[in-house]
Amino acid sequence: MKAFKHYISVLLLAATVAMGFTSCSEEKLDDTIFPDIDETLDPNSYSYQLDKFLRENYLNVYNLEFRYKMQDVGTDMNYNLVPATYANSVDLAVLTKYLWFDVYRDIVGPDFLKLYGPRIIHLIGSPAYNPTSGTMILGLAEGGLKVSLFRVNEMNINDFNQMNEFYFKTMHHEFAHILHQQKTYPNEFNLLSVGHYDSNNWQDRQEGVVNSLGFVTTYASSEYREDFAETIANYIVKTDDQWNAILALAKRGWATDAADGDRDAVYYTYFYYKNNEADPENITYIDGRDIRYVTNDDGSVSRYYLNGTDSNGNRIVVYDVEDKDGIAGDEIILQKVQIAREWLQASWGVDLDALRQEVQRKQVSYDINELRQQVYSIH
Amino acid sequence: MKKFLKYAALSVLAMATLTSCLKTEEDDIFDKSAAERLDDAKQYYSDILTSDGGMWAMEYFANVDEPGYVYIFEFKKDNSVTISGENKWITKLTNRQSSDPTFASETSMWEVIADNGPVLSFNTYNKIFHLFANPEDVPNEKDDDPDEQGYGHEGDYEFDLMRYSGDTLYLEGKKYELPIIMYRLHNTTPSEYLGQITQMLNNCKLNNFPDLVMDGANGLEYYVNNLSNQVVEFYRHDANDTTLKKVDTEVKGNMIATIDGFRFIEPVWLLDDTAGTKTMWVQHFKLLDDGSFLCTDDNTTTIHRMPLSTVFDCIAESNTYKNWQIDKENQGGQFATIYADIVSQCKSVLKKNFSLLRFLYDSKAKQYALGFRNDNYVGMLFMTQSYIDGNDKAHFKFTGEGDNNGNIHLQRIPAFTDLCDFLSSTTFTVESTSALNPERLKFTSDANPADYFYVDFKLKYMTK
Repeated sequence: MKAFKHYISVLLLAATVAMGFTSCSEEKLDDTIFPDIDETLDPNSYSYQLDKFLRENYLNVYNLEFRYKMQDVGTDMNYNLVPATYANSVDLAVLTKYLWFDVYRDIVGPDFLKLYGPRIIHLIGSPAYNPTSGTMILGLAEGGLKVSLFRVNEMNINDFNQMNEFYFKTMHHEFAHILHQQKTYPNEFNLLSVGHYDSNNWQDRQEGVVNSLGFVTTYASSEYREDFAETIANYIVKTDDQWNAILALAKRGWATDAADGDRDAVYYTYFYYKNNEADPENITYIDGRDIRYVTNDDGSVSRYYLNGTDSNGNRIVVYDVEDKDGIAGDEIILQKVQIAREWLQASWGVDLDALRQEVQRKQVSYDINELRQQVYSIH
Repeated sequence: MKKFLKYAALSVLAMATLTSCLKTEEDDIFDKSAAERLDDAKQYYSDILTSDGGMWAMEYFANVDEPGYVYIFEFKKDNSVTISGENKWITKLTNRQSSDPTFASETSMWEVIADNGPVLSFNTYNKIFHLFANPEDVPNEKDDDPDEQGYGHEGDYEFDLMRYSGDTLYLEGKKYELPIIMYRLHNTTPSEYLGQITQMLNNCKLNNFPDLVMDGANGLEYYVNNLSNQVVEFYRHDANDTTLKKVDTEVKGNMIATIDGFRFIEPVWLLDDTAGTKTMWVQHFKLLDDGSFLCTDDNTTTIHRMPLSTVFDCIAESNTYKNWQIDKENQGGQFATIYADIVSQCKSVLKKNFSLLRFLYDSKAKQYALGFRNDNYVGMLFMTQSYIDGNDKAHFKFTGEGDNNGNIHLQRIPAFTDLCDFLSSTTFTVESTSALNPERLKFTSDANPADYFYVDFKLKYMTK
């Protein structure tokens, strides 16, 4: 039987070889099945101005397709999504160039984004909602090649904080992903917050609480890769005041009177004792809006509960919640920034602080009407 | 050895088969490659869309739970498209509480793209049209409605182009796969066309008499409900003819108004109550001159109002103030004379301005009655019966009694007695001015057609 099997094998091998030769001898390359594509832009097209701007500023320079016409095959079909408006696409095209591509060109060098930048930016009008988890996706970086920016139709060009949160930060966040997908950042970063990530319930966490755990945002607390991208993106786009506020919250202690596991638990960083009676049973948590600050004769400042007095008519003293998590949140955040800073410099030759300085300068000084003219003045 | 020969033969056969597979190269069936043919198809459909004025009506369905909506597309060769619509969802973009349709237009972009075949894509956002694909919460009137954030209406904005025939494009939603039809339009404007569609929907708005009858081509009588809400349901009496039972259908009756009537999203098979067998189907209906609808799929099935006996007797429903008010401006013959006498006698005898007469049901006395208002006084004259029979003949019989004010008026205004006598002694033929919406009825004396009056349906006791 063994000999038989061998025979069959040889036979089949011979037949296969014979067929292979036959096949090779007959194979020849035909003409391409794809028709010639006319790449010329039609000056009569409705979108000629934007198309020309995108070709001259993205495709020709960075070999990047700035895709504003929705292609749902380029999206996750599990989401219900809609296209971006033409007008908002124009705004985002000029702003992306101004606040992202031009910054890297000027600070890092003209070839950096040509080499490492995405090849596709895809604008999508709506958020990608996850109804079951109550979250929405604002941006996606796929395979180091494609960045999708969502929620374009709700863009309010006059709301700087909204623009920063939903678009500019997303751009730097997604680009950070692209960079670390190509060159790994030090594992030391991942070890800084081990045990404090929560990929399933990060959206239920509170901003100040995650700051105190060493994360810049709640999303950063979902997993270490997002933490890395969020740390870089927030450091770049947040103003000094906003960044210092994160560090200040990160130093504080937080507590809640909600039951364990309550997804809607609200955490506080201040409390007072009912009737000024210092007993743990009397602790009442309050937020900063309920505090009255009083300057004493010696120039010091005391904090009191805004509403009411104790039974003796004295103001109710406000205390800080003790920081019991054992984590110096601000120091962890700064350590993360330092790791990112060194990695960007060593791996990519990118000066994170220079980048931040340039973005900070540009994001508060642009004139959108002037930027739009780059598109609308095209004839 | 036999075994060896068997396997050897099989091997040779297998080899021959493989060789034969390799050597059999099919001739090209098509002149062009698949990509070139797809490119041609894109151009073919682009040309169809933009030619001959480029104006199309789309009968759009977002999902299988909602009615369809008509949209007008004006395609231009520069890849812009002006989309017009007139529906409540457009209104709700700016006024969540209103459900009145609003007309609006907006220009965006379109393209025929290649997918598995040619696909018509509206690839930049158009708030008039993409509202059905937008995954935001659907703005219903109530604040406590279900949260649809992440889903929205779940409508398509990309459509597989299936075929073109006779200035009609047959499409299918690319993601949710609902059938969509587009018709080429000529010699109209979007606002004019959509205004006609809205008028057709108004014809179907049956707020007071939502139940209709469908005389099926299969000889069965169905009751039709929810034409006003445009997701129609069918009912039939059970075998004992005692209760109405919802008829099982293969698809929901999501309807869309058309220029000459309405149609359902797909043929609606009406299944037999017991066996679940298909008995008949309906899809396209045309509005007839008399206001009823004819199914143009079988040219036999009609949808019309309930029998007038049922319609008129709605006043006897408990806990309602429904009544039929006599139109004082449109009446003739002896009826008009008696009515005028009542007015003049009330003025001369009681110094009052008589204002109205109406048929109603006094739920307290559990009696039909002819009600009246004389300045600030209201009263009733009771009837032993007040009904319209199956032949649309009306018969009234008065008891000769009334409530307190009724009795006073019977004693002091002789024309009231004349009226009761006239109504009791006359048989009237009753007609509705609409085959669909019987809110106005005409009563004509069989003995003398010059004697007639109209009644209008009222939801409560109106004073005018």
